Amino acid sequence: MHRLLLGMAATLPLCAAVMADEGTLTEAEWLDDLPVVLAGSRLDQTVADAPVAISVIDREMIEASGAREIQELFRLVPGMIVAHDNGHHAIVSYHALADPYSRRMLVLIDGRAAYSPVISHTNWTMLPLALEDIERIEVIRGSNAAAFGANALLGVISITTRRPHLADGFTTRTTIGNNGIYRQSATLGGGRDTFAWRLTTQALGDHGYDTSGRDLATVDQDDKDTVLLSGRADWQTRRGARWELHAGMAEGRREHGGVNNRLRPEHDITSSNGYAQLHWRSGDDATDRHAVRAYWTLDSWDQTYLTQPMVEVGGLQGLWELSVRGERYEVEYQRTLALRSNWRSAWGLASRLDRMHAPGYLGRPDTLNNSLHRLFTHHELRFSPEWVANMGLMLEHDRAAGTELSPRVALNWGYLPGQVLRASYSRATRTPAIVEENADHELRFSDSVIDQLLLSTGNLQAERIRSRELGWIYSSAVQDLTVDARVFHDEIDRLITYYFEPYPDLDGLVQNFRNFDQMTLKGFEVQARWRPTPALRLIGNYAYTDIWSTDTDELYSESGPRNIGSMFAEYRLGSRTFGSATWYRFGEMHGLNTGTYVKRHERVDLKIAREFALAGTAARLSLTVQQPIGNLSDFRTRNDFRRRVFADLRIRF
Amino acid sequence: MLAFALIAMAMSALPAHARPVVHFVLSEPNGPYREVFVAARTALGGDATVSVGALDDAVPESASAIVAVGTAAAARWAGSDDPRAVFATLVPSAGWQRLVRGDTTRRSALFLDQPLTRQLALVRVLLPPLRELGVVYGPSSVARRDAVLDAADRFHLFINAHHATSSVDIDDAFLTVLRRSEALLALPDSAVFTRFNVQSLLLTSFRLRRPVIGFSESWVRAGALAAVHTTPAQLGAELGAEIATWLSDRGPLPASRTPMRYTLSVNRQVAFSLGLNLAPDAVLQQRIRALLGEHP
Repeated sequence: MHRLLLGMAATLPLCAAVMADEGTLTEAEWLDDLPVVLAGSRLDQTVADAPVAISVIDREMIEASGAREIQELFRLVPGMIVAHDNGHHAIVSYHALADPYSRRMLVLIDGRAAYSPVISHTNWTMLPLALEDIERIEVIRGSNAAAFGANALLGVISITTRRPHLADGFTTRTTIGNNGIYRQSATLGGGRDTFAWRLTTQALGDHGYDTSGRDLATVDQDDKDTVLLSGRADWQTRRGARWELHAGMAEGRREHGGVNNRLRPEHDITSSNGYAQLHWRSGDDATDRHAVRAYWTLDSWDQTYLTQPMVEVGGLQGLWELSVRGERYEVEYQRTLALRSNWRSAWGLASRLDRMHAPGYLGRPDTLNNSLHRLFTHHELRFSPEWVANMGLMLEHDRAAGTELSPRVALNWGYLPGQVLRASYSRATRTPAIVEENADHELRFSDSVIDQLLLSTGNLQAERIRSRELGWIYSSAVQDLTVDARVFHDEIDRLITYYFEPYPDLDGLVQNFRNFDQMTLKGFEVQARWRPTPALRLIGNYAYTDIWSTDTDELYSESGPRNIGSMFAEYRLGSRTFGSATWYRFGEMHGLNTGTYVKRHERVDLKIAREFALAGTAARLSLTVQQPIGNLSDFRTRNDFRRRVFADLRIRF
Repeated sequence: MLAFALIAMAMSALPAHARPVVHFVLSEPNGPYREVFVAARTALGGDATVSVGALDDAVPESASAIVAVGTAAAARWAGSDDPRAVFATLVPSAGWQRLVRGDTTRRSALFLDQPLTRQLALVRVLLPPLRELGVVYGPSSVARRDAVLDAADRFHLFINAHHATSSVDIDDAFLTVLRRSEALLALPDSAVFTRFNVQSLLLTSFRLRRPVIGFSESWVRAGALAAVHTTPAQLGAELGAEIATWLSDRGPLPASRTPMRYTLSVNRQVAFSLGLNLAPDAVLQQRIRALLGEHP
């Protein structure tokens, strides 16, 4: 195929000269290989053949939803918890373990791990990624460490950005609304078939949770402003190899603390988040492909400030040293190989170096390094058109946490056309976050007056999960209906938890980490997608989760709602007007760490949009109303979410 | 190049005196180009002495017919003033007329394209209750609009068409057409469908649960439901037989045309995921032939 492509590339100029005004139509249109459709795991698969349950949020859903920020989209996935610690700190978890530092889901952006090297959580509002640049999001519901390694304990969110070939020209987008909501973005792209590029810049912000009508002296501030610049360039060589270069940077300012909060007076956090990635692929997608991905990521924030004078310690001011700089370097090689016509495999290896400079959290002025090496393999065996087996294995060696093995086996049975039953079993681990293993965090008032807040004994082991699931997929082109249901049973042990122990400091207590608690998650969930008429699309989600936990150190059994449901409806009126309505219902829960008990709540988002021509450009104007009636509190009772209205104008030049 | 030399040598060893010489010019030495050549040589049998060369190789003076395989070779020879008969294959129909120079009655092509009636017969056989079929035209394929409408009439299909001017528009055009249609027919057009956008377009169609009918085996592998297409070996065999017939009387060259032989490819996984219970390939092909009134 290489020689074929080479030959074709060589002949193209000649053909172009001959048929310039016809487009360069050659035999290549018939003979070239095209990429396979779905990426479910390490192998390109359809949902029916994948060993896990996958929910896809595609470009059309992103456009149709009333979402303004990425995390809001996950409400369209059954079982996903989307909440906020404050207006700029989003929490995304699956079924349970909602924590401001939710660190048990793996987030991948174009294959690159996008969680903090220090705390292992994802800083959703600081990702250098504009909503407009997302092509699709695949949410793998359930443990998937066998394919992607540590941190994929509860699930994986895999975000794929748009190919730059789809961003030719200049597009601007302006959003303005109440509560200080603003967004201004511009995308510029160019290039043609073998080379294309895209640059996106965006400024985004809001005033966080609603404070109107409340005594400003009693609330904390949570305004945010973020600017980002991101780019991507794709190049296909004459030999058929494909190169992708991705790079981006986001800078943000976040308000934190409150006017009357003596311990955490009002201050700004300045954050930086960046990445650079090179991805090379060569070979035939269907038979033999080599791929190398190398990337660097940066997750840092600057947050050093003083408390107000504290009468409890003779009027001294304490120094908060919360600044963090985490960098990650990773190289991964993967080979995808069809061993036989019914046996496809993928194997590869990866090495990662995490570098953390966090003197306030780690109690050391130098940079701490941690390395991770992994070896993985995945096999898909098709015994017959109806029976498919998937087997995966991940071997990881983490310098801090040791060696762990994560296996998975799944069997899919297509017992009728469009109907699949899936049974799977997997074991997975989560290696401790650097801060869990090495924390030494204090609030220092003077050399002798210190409140030690965190102090790790270390020697933590990786958390473990054993997952069993039964899945069912029903899909009918005639009825235009897809139903995806699963029953799950997850057992997690060696949960790394905070606990208090006596310590000779100001308050006589310190928080340490230990592998202590266990929990079991049992339940079922279902997603139905139905298009009764070409103009109407309906999506319904429901998840029931029964959580049991030893609850020795924290209230794990209440760290997720028992019931979560959502309904999404989109209606198209002609080819230029569409509207959508989304309704969420979220059961009561008590979040971990700073979380409080929050009662059951509902939320409604409404959106209407119209496309039109404006002075020779293609424009689209939309109006979104979030929570038109009433207010809600998610994660913390102090979070007061009230009606938000914003208009958005997109112009393609 | 070594392969060429060996083949040429092998050919020169044959007793070639009385037989006409047919020279094949391959745009590329291997892959589908070679498949065409091998099949054509077999079909020609003992009717001709066959020689083969690359794009830049000299053509024997004694050659009474030149067979250009692939667009580059066709552009070189069908577009030349050479008075000899030039047959071309593994080329698309779009642009062929403008490519031809010299004595146009001495130029004949066997195209890669399928007749639209055959493609729409496939749609009818795969999706019997289907009423509305989407088509996205580009700068090349828009020329086939009337042929699409004629074929659609024959099979009682309504066409939702959209004209995209470039791969930039295709995203929206594709979505607009998919929403209004029950399935989509892709027609070859390099300005619209590229290696880079086909994946996301097929993904969109999959999400919307709209089958896509492709035009090549690659499309079917990538996630289109099915396609009728002619393999390089089929093209070679058909062209070889055609040249053998022409050699017997050396009359006017046959008119350029689409191939009679074709293959049906179905992506069974996609069919399964769409909930379609399709008959085996052989049965489907039989039904297509019956619809088209072809002999089995």
